[in-house]
Amino acid sequence: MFDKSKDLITKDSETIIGHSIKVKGDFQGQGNITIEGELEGSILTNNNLLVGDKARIKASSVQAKDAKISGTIIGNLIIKGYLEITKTAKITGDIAAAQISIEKGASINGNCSSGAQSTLQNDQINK
Amino acid sequence: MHVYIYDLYLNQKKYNNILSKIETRITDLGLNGKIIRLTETSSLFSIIENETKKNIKTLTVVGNNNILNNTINSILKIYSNKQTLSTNMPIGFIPIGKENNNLSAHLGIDFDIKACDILASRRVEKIDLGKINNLYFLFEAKIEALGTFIEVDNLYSLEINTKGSVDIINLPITSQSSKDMNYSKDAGFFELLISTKKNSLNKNSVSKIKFQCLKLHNPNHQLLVDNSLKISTPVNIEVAKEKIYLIVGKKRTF
Repeated sequence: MFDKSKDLITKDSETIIGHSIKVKGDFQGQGNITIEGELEGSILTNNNLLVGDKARIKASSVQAKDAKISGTIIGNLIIKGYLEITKTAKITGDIAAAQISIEKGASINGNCSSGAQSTLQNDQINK
Repeated sequence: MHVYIYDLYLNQKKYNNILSKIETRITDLGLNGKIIRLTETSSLFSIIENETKKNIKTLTVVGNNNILNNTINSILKIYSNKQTLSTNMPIGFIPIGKENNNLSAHLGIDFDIKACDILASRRVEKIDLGKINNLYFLFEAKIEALGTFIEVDNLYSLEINTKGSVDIINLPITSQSSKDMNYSKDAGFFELLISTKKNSLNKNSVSKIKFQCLKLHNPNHQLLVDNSLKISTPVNIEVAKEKIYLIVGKKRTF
């Protein structure tokens, strides 16, 4: 599902935010998104989201189909499919995903719900 | 009818020989037509405006990047003023001299006499254009990354705090990053490529975003358009509604 190599920037991503780039606003994309820099606002994609270990995100919401989080996120995550949280991830906010995998060492401070119903309920609440 | 417009610098004696050979080749290929030489006092825009009133088959410009860019902008300005005219008339290009003449390679057009054979093959390609304020561009615009502020699709903004380069790409020519990052052209979209150095590993960090319109500002650096024209910012950049027809070669890079 995700590039297994150590280099987190994948050539398959339609959108890549590299180091030393700071994004502010409602960040949207139709394809896969890779974030290695900073973002303040919100993230929305119908495809995969990859957040690198040096990335720092402060968002009202982060929404994607599948996601792999290795960086710092302050905000709520709504993932329709599979969410992988690696050991370097630091998440402050609520998480809802159909399936979740959390690696030992990850830091999560918020509510966490999984299963198909959890993302459906979050969609309804957000509406 | 074919119309040929020769750039001003070709009036120098050293170009007489090559122009004579080109004119012979054009005649041999059955493409001879009206030849117009630019002078110090002539206006490319006025010449094109007058000639496009007649039913010409092809407008071919002879020279370098400058005359090609100026011709595209002149044609689009004429068509926007007189909306009845069609942009279907193709533009041909015969590049002469290596200086400021790197766009031809990406169009698959050889220099001098060999360009005549490209004209004869008449491979016409409909090409998207970019628009920077009121200026149209064909390939890329480039600016220094440090200090550049970008607003994308009226949705979000980007700040860059490291040295590097920002490339706005319609058709890639100079960006090494675009080759590394598997550049692909989506109709109606351009690509924004930002290449900066990672501090610790000294490797390039590349950011890539597709967009339809953006605002760009850098108070300390100018934007270089199609490797030939420098423009001061702030600028609005968007995918132009208008398209242009160009005669291109098999070896084009897009």
